[in-house]
Amino acid sequence: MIISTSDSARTERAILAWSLAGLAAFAVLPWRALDYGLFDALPSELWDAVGWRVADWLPWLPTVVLAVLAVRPWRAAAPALAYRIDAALGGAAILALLAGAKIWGVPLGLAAAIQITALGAIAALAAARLGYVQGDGFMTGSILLIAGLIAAFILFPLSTILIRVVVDFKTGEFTPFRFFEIVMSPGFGRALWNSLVLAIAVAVSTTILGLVFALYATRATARFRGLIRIFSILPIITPPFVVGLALILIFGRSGTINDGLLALFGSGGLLVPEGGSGWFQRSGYIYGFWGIFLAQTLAFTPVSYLVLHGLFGTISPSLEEASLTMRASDWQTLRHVTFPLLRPGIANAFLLSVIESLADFGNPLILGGDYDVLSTEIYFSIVGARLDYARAGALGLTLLAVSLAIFVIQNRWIGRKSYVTVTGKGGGGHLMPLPSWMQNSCGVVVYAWIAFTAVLYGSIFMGGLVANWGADYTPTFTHHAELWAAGLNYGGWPSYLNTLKLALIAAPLTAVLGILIAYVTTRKRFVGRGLVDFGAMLSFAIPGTVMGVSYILAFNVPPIQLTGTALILVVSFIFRNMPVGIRTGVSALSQIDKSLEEASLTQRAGSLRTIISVVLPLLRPAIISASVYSFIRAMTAFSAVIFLVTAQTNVATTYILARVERGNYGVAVAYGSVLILTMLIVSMLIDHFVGRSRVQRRVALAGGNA
Amino acid sequence: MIATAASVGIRLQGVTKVFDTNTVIDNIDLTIRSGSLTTLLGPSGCGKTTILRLIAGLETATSGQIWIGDQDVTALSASHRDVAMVFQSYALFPHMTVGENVGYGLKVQNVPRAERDERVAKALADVGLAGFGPRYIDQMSGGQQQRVAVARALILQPKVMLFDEPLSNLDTKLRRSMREDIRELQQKTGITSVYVTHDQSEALAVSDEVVVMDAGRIAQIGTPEDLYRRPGSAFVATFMGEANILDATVERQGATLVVGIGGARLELADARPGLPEGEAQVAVRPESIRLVAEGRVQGPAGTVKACAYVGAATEYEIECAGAGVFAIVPAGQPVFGPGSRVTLAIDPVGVAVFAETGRPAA
Ligand SMILES: Nc1ncnc2c1ncn2[C@@H]1O[C@H](COP(=O)(O)OP(=O)(O)O)[C@@H](O)[C@H]1O
Ligand SMILES: [Mg+2]
Repeated sequence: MIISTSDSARTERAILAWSLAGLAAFAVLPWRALDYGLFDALPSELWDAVGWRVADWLPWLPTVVLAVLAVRPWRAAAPALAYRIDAALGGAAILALLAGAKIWGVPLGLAAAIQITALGAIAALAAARLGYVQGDGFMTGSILLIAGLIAAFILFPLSTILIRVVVDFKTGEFTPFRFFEIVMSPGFGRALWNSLVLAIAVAVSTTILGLVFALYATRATARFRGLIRIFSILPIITPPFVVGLALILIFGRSGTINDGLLALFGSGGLLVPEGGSGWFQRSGYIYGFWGIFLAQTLAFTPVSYLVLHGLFGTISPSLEEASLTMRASDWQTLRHVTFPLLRPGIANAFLLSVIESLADFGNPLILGGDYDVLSTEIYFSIVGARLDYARAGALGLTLLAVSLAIFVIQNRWIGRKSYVTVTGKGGGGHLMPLPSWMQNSCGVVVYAWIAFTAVLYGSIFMGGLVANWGADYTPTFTHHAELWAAGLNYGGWPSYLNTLKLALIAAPLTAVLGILIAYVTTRKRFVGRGLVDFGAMLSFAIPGTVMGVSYILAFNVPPIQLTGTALILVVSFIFRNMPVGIRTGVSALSQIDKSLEEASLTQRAGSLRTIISVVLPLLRPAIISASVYSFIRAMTAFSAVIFLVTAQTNVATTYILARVERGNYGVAVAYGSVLILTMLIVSMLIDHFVGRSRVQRRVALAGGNA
Repeated sequence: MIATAASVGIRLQGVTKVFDTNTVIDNIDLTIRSGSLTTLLGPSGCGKTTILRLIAGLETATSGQIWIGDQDVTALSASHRDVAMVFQSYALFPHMTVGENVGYGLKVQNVPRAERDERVAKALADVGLAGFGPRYIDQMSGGQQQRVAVARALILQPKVMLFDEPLSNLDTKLRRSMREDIRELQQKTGITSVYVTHDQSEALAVSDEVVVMDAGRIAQIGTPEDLYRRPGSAFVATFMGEANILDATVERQGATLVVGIGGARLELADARPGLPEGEAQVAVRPESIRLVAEGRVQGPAGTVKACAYVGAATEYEIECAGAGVFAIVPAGQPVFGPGSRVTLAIDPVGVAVFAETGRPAA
């Protein structure tokens, strides 16, 4: 019985330590949230917010429970009973505290967070002693933490949207039919229809282009593969609407094409008879469906390319060789062997593009004109004078339902049908080259694309270096000077540095949380895994605008009051980009034999030790690349943060948008080009250190854009 | 090398394991003697690995209790059970050297560096790998990796050692010598060991006791000889070596059992209580069947369908009363070609009557 006793002693010591930590937090740290956030508060404000100085009994509730847990009057009882009491008390105190804070409107602060953590840790330790998760205290604690975070930052915010739709905010009346009223209201059906049409059109074009690219990159001459790679990575590191801006520079009302046509065919144009009125007038044709379509095709093709490219790599050349030895021609082999094998991947790329297009907000916002889609409708329901949260909520729920449905289809249906992955290693052999007509036509598409992208990005970089694109092409540094030369507190610096700081804080947290979720959901069996799985899946499907709306609704009132702080931005980065970490983690873990961890456990290492000594070293590349891509996505985040920023916490994308809205395209693209360069440098550095193919694979896994 | 500390037994009481809705281990009671090497033997998928993982604490039992010595470990995590395991895939850490792999458990226990190095060197020497410490795992052959895994398991002097098909990744020749080495180490240390295999000859060679499993239940427990000579069911008879399952009549006559097979009357010295009488099925080992020309002796008659010369013996397939019978006849006996009519002369030593009926092993 020696081990068992020392085990209990260890658990009891840990419970004591956590109780004391919770009590200490009560004694010295601010228990209530501070109005301006922790770092901007005065010392006296901090002091007044400390638990025992707050004129409220709520802080005493968890404190008394923690004090009782420190003493454990039931310690002499049978262990099974004693641990049940610990777990129940810890859990009940958390729920009571949250309910109390909600009912009496007390915003919870740092000390309260520590106390909740302590109560949760105690409950987890006790639950582990009762046999939960194979008696593993650390794992139980992690699972509880993950479940708590998912509940607080995904499920709870979404539930507030739902409540806002079915309960009238002012009168508190229950309005069950409100959702249907909003759905039937003018404009709603059109936005839904527009979104779907756009998403399907974009998905068709990106899938075809992605396929062409992937075919060309894997089977044609190797000469331009590096170039293809760069061009396919570019849109991933580009802020979501900067491509849209470039399209405006080229195709907009005063864009290059309009100017050119005007110069040729407009009034007094070169090709117009002297004195004629000309056949061409300035046109805003780029605004609307075709503009968004073009911008999204540019933005999402790389994702579809990377998905398909990854798949091509897994097809064993021996399958094609087998077909060729049966006297099939190259074309017959492609048609009857290669494409059928690719079919699930093609469907996968298609559905991913649909989800991306539905969620995209930046491009429709800039280029949409009067082509409204769900994501922009959500935004316009809230900004300005309307402030119609019910409508925004109903739109958001609809958008979420559609993305979630497609995501479920993609996951379940494609996940099962993917036979490519089971064929395993290829075992040598050569991939068949394309029939020459195919190779040529693919080449034309690929180089046309590259040329077009080059023009677009050229216009982004040039646009920031000329006086006034479309009117005055004098080279100048005024835009950059305005942004970067006015000191760190002016121009672009505050938002740039703020974005950099928040993204750097969020990135490692995102990677760690995502990989931890991947770890517990793929490696552990426990009661409540369904909830974690479901929350993780929601995080994959939730569009940024929906998240933004849900966060303002959820976090501008106690118990978790975060509106206006930088913390809410960090939180939104983390939960928005969590899928990156989860995907990377799942794929990296699938490469690591589970018995390595089990071997460590049977070597008397606890699970924390196992993770540190065995799992982390093997996962290091995955953690690095997940961090990098979380960083990039946080730097370019837009659709959720636009709802959450304030003048103090402005980020790069919202700053650029503000300049666009004021018509300062020169400044906007100047900023955009600096942002692109920043991320290009970061990703190339990482590419260099972590290794090429790996980063590329991770990008494919990371998918999407903000 | 390692003091034979008071070794302890293992006890499973009413252990059941259900994955989703699939009952993989069905209410098993099993006692493993302290200091013994017990094998779990059974066809693939019958739950052997699952039992091992339940003992190790890598799976939680759906119901029932597991005892190691006098301690109920059912709710204890793997790292607190004092159990070491040699995995089928070896599970050696690829980012550590051989020495670091073997010393991992010591490092976890905060054993000082000097003592650790010393014990690692000794453990490696014990498995015949002295001097291999600084190498990385991918620089070792399969057999060497196997030895590293054994050294890593032994170094903590655990109460219980678990082996999950440790030889399945080795070639036949290496398998033979490795199993002897494992047996020897186990005897020397006296650590209670459970050894999983689906290979009956391996089980017979290394074990003190064999537990034959069938679809999540225990089919029979016994010494290797017991199981071979006195299988309790058709399943065990066919799984432990080859056996013909034939219809027979059984009659108890004092201390002997008289078995009638197709006119032959065989007297078996085995007359344990509980064996059936009347119509029954019996197992007949192929090497206990001799062939004689038809009519020379009393016994079941048949026709040779095929015969194959395999060096030390001739193998026959005989059609006998509508059933196929397999016989192995040592070289030097008369040979019968296909189509010959023969009578089977059966040596009672190779005949077993079952206490229970059951399907033969697939
Ligand atoms: N983690 C698991 N989840 C679901 N089923 C499992 C799991 N592990 C094993 N099984 C099932 O339990 C049965 C027994 O498995 P196992 O103990 O590995 O068999 P053996 O080692 O005897 O070949 C198999 O049918 C297997 O599919
Ligand atoms: Mg097995």
